[in-house]
Amino acid sequence: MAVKLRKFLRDKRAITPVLSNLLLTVVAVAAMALATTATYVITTNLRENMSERVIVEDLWFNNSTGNINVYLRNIGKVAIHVSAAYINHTSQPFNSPFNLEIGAHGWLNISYSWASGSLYYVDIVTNRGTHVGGYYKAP
Amino acid sequence: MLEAIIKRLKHDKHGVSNVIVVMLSLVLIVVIVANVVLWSYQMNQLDWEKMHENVEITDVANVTSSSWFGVQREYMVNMGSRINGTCIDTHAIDDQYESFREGSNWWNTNYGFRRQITIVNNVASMLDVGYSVCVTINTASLVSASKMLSDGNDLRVVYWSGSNWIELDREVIDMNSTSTQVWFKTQATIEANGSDSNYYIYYRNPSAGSPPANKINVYLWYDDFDRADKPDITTEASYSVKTGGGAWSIETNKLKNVGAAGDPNKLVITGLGNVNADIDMLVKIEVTSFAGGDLSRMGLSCCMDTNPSRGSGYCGLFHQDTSSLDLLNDLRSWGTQGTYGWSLNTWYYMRFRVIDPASRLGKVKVWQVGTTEPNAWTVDGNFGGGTARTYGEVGFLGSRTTDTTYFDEILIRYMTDPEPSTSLGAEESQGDNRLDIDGTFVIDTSTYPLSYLQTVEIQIRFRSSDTGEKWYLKAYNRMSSTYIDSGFNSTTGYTPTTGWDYYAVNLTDQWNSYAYGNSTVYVKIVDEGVDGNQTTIDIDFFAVRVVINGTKFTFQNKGSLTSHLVSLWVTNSTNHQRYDMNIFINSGDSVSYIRGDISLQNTPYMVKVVTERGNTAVLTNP
Repeated sequence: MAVKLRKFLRDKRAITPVLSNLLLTVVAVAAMALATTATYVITTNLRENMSERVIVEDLWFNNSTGNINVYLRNIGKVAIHVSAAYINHTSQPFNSPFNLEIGAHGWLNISYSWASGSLYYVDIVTNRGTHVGGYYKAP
Repeated sequence: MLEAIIKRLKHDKHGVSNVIVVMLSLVLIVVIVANVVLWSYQMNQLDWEKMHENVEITDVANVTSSSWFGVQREYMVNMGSRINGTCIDTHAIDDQYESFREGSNWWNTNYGFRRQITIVNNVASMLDVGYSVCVTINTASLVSASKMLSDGNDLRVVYWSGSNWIELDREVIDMNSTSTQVWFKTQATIEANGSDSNYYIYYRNPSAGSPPANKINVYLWYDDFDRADKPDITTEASYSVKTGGGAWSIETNKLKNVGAAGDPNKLVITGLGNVNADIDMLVKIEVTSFAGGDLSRMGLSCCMDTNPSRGSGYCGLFHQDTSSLDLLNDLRSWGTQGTYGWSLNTWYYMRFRVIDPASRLGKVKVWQVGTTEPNAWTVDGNFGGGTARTYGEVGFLGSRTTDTTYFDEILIRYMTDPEPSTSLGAEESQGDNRLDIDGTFVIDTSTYPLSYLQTVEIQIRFRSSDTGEKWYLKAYNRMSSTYIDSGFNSTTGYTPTTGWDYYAVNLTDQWNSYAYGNSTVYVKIVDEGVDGNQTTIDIDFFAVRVVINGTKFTFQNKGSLTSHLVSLWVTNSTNHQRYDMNIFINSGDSVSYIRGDISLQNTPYMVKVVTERGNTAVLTNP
């Protein structure tokens, strides 16, 4: 053992391979951690985007308030957050923040003065980019 | 080939590292792909299922009544007997029926007659178990008619628990008189302003032995001190605490107090503990030595606590001289000081009563033993301006000087103001034939919410062997705690014909008094009274239903998957109303769904149902 130690101490080149191996290991571990994290983030986003399902149970041109009330139900596998509501491709104010947990449902109230007999394209957009809506004719 | 690879790896120092990196990368890629693919598969499956779902609304119609609800468990036969069949036979109109025969639910066949006792709780709070009640009966007429022994040994009080007869201890006062008092303890609570008719007086048993008449089982507390002399009664567990000075002993079957300095001088009835209710105290009292002055005092005490020292309470007492009867709040204030002339070496009754200690009001009256109790209270006043007391211990008040007082026959009972009233039913004889059965019916309030019910209907289809006897349907009224038909659309009963008969009543807008919180209705069918015929009745159908103004929806699942309906919409020009629902429909099935809280008008409307997968079915009424 003492002989080996003496030999190691006399060898001027011995420290370089050790350091290089250590550095290589650290770099490899860091790279893998980065890759794993990136994978997790990418797949999570992908999965959430794929899992979003929202339906319009009812749309009511409300005479008493003059607004458009949309009853939404989250039938997907991830909570949703409505980020925008468009009427005829124009963003309109609504009761923000509007969030629906999995299986939850509720009224989204869009402040918009609608006219009887007119056709409207209602588009609800979530923060992940899912669109739900369609054409509705005011009674 | 493999050898070449191994050889190359051995040769190439970087070979192993390369393989590991490639393998890890592959694993990572596989994990990513698998995760995405599997999740994508799940969502695709959800979309596929959604596409294959096909639910339709096939009908929407008004409904005015629910389906019938039969009994949940076998009928209870209170009088009479079951011959054959089960309650299941009464669920539908068919050839299956359950039969009953009249008879009598008699406690003891040695007794020839009975009368039902009804106790009415006259206060707006529950009457506790153990309340001593009194019923008055004319025993003189019964004795003269040879229906009762002159000593009252065959006068028995019995309680029907619903499944068992329980004979009760009773005290009979003024036997063989026109107004004999019969005291006994209640065996069950009675709801606020409710009543209980499960008590009976039985009589006419010429060979009756000694009845149960232990007064400790009739009253909250009773003691006649009929036991061996004892120089210190505090050696007994029931009287183990005395406060202040003086001696308390048993002498010649009486409680004796010889006073001494101290305040308050009390003998606590520790056997009762704290009495947390209003009480009435009655005792016989005789003073044989009386010095006179402020320290001379003797009487009864209640609401005793430890403030400022144990034994402090409200008192009704002889005090100062032989013409005073006072109220005292120990160590706080003298109350009303009344006048009553009394004599040494004479036995008196003293009654002391405190209703609601917080009011600081008390009553006390005294009358000589052997005379009639006066109706009026000698002192009906207050305990002065001292701080009011709460419920507490009860006991005797002794003199603060060397006076000698005897007490006897202490009797304590719970008290309400006003007290419960009692009444006696008609005389029944052992041979009388009656039938009285009741059943428990539960309404499905998830479909028919109570707030939307208009009334409850009861219907029975039955056949009677006696066309001369009427039958009555009654329901348990939670306000009066008894089976009655008050408020029914018909209270005249029904006289059967020779075949199968329908008899129906509805509870009008009074139904709420007959339905319990969990929507249970207790219904009874009972004959009109005693008669000589032992009638048999067959019950083919016995059920209740609710009258509503609701809507029945019919859904059909034409898809290949089971559907879960979660939302129901009823929309019209002025309103879009959503209702929660939770209905599963198997593939190919049709389901009727009744809502008592939806009433569709003749105006145009649209009904829409939404499934859990997000599909919608619509039916429009133009």
